[in-house]
Amino acid sequence: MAEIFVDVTTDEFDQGACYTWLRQDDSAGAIVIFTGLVRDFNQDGKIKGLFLEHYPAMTKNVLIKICQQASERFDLGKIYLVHRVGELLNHAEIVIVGVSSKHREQAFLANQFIMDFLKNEAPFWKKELTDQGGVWVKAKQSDEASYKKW
Amino acid sequence: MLKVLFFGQIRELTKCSDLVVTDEFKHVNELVEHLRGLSEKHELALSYGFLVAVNQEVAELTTSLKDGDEIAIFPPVTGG
Repeated sequence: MAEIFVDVTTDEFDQGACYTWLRQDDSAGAIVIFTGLVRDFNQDGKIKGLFLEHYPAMTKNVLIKICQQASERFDLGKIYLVHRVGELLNHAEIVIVGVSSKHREQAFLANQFIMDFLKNEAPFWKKELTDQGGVWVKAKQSDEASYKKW
Repeated sequence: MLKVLFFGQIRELTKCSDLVVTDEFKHVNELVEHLRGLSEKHELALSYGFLVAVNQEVAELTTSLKDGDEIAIFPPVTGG
């Protein structure tokens, strides 16, 4: 089982801390880090940012379970996952997923697996903030399709 | 007694984040029907697609309920 670090926070996160933590995997031949950012637009035009709501009693456990599933499915040394909540302005970082593995293919696949599962299972809800008010983001069929392919 | 939580658009439409239900319900679908009947706002909020968790685990409409359970009702998730 891979070593897992998971956090849910309102604070900005440090990509350097993620990389430094993953580098402690002495058996690693590859590290893959993904960060998701707040876009400054939606299909109707410009937005000001996002508000991210979550279910505090459930969120972290779901994220840990997703990482455990990734660990069972792929050859991983370490998994690092931090997701932010609260008000996030345009271009802010939302999520970081980092994995270490002996081989790059496993690292790339595991990182995508974790993101696809997070987008379909983790209890977060985005509300886009615009000049006209807030608009709840609807779940995308493309995210569900990515999830089902696993 | 059951504790019910609403999140996202459902929380906003019902203007309610949590409530306590003292009636007994054997399954989630019976509780949902009860909640729909609370007001027009609840009926509207629960007319869209939603997910349910019982004690922080994703559940089905047929999942059994017992005294003290925490039931969360929320829209499809949109994190990441």
